[in-house]
Amino acid sequence: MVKLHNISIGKKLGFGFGTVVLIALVLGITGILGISRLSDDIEYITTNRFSDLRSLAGLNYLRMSIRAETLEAVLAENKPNRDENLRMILERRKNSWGKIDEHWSTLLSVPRYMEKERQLVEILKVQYQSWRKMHADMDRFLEELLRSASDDRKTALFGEFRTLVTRLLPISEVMGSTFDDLTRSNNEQTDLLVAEDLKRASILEMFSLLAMIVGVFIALVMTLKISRSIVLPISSAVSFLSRLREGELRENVPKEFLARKDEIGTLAQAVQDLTEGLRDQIASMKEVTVALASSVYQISASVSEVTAGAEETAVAVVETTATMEEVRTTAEVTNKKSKEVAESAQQGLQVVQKGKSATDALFDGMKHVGERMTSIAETIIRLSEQSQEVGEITETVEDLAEQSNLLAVNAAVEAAKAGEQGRGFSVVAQEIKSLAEQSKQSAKEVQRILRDIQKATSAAVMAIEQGSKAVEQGAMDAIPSRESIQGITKKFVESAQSAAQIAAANNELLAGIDQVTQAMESIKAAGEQNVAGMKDLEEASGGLKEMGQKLSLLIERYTM
Amino acid sequence: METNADAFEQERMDAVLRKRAKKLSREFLKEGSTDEDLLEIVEFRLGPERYGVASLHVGEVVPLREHAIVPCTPPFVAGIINLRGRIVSLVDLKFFFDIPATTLSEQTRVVVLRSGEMELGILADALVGIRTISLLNLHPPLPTMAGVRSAYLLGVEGEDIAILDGARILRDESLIVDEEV
Repeated sequence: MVKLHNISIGKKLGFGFGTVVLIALVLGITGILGISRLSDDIEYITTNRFSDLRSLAGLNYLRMSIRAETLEAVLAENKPNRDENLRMILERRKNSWGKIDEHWSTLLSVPRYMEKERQLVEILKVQYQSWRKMHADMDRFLEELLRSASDDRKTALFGEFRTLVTRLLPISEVMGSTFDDLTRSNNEQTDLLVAEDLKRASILEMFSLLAMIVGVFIALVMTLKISRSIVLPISSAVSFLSRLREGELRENVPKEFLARKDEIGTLAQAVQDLTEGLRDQIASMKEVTVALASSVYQISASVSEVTAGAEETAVAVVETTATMEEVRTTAEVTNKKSKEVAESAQQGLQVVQKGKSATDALFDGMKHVGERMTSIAETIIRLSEQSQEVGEITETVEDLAEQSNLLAVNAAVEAAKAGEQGRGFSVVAQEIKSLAEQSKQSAKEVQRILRDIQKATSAAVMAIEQGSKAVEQGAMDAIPSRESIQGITKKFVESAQSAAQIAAANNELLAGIDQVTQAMESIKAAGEQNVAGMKDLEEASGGLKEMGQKLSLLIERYTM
Repeated sequence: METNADAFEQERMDAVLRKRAKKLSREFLKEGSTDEDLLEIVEFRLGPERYGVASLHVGEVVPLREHAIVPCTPPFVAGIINLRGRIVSLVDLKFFFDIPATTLSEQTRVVVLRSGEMELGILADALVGIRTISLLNLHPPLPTMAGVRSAYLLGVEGEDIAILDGARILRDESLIVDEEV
């Protein structure tokens, strides 16, 4: 016998389940065959037998109904609403014909396997045809009755109808008995078929029960056997692995499992490999953990140092930022001052330019005064010359007066010589003399005045000369001041430009300081982040340390 | 205004002339004096002193324009002048009256004394004018004046005018220079 330990679990399971499936298959096929036979019979009974019986019952009922109608039509002759009744009867008969035709065709379509039934159907056909023919005649009479107007005709027709009815009744009775025969035959056949089927079903039931009991027994045996061969080693593996989990690494997998050639053997080998591998790994991990612990310690120390450094840097950055703020404040003050200086320089420049224009005006004024003075001097000199001429004229006048005086004297002398006759002439001469005297006096007066004028003009000329000299001196003196004002203007322009440049430079400086401040803020933020990061790192390194300790604890749990 | 001032000046001048004419006419109509007592003189200046000479002896008075100094003549001869073609000698009377010599000037005049053929120029420092004096007011020369001076003087009119005797000067032989060198 083949050892169960050397068959793979798949094959074992396949064998077990295969057996069970085989039993189920036999059972199922038997059931299916029996059931299909039963269902065929039931279908046959339902479709043939039952419809046959339904049609026979329907035809019999309709035969009786038609018969009643016919009799009612006979009775309707003496009723007051005869025509009305006849019409209704005719209507109902027509409806019944449709149903009768339907049942008749169904009856004919049912297959007949028994000889007796076939004969009965042939008889029924003949009876049915004669019965139908007679009824068709009756319908024709009824229609004519309705159509005819004269009572005699109607009475005749009723008479004929009554004879037809009397002929019909025996045929109808015969057809009714044939219907009953056919029904009976059908019932007998059906009862036989059902009894056969019931017998077959009981055999099938017995067989199924037996097969089920055998199948359950086999399945139980197989399950027990296979599960024992799988569950035992697996539970032993579970206990081995749980000991492994506890840290027991010294144990090895039992030889009996390793010797097996099924999946359990493979599993045992794998667990053995795992144990050995774990042993190696734990040994390496122990070494690594020791190294890691020392590294973590170093990292922790370094991180602490760096954190301290980062904190110091952050403090320094904060101080630098504060200093930058002070510098910025100072720069703002300087900027304000330099702007003020620039404005002052501008104002000074304006003042100096005013001064320059004033000195220019002064210069021009002095030049103008000089020109005027020169012109005045020329005028006075001309006046002096003219007064000289006047003096010459007065000298001539004086001379003339002197000559007149002399002439007067001479005339007086001549008059005296003339004696008494010359007395009048003497008076005239005296008068001339006095005029001459007067002229002389006037001329002297004029000369005196001219002398005064001369003196005055000389003084004026002198004064003008001095004035001109003074003006020239003033102009000369003004030149250096003008030059110095020009120099000052130039200097002021330069200083105003310099002040403007300083103001601009200060503005740039301020912008630069702003940028530096911003940069310092960024550095500060970065430093703070750094410190935070370092703190995190410190914590992380602490965590790492803790983890290292935990790891070493974990590893120490393993016994090798 | 100017015309008014001129008019005023003219009026003033007229007034002065009228006054003077009245004064002159009064002098001529002096009380108690006759024509015989009156003497018309030509008054002139010699240095600081005033002298007069009767207009009868005076030919004319001319200004001294050009004169030629004649060499080898006595000191009182000042030179000669050309009077309308005639040569007239000039006598400086200051030499005789001990009056310091003066320089010639514009005022210097030549009083030409004339009597018949005799003509003589007296060098006067300035001409004063014609004056009519009364002989009654003529005083004899001061006794301090002697010699030639007193010989040429007619008298002293009033306080300070010495009246020269023109006829005598014209006649004086000593004034005629006639010598050959």
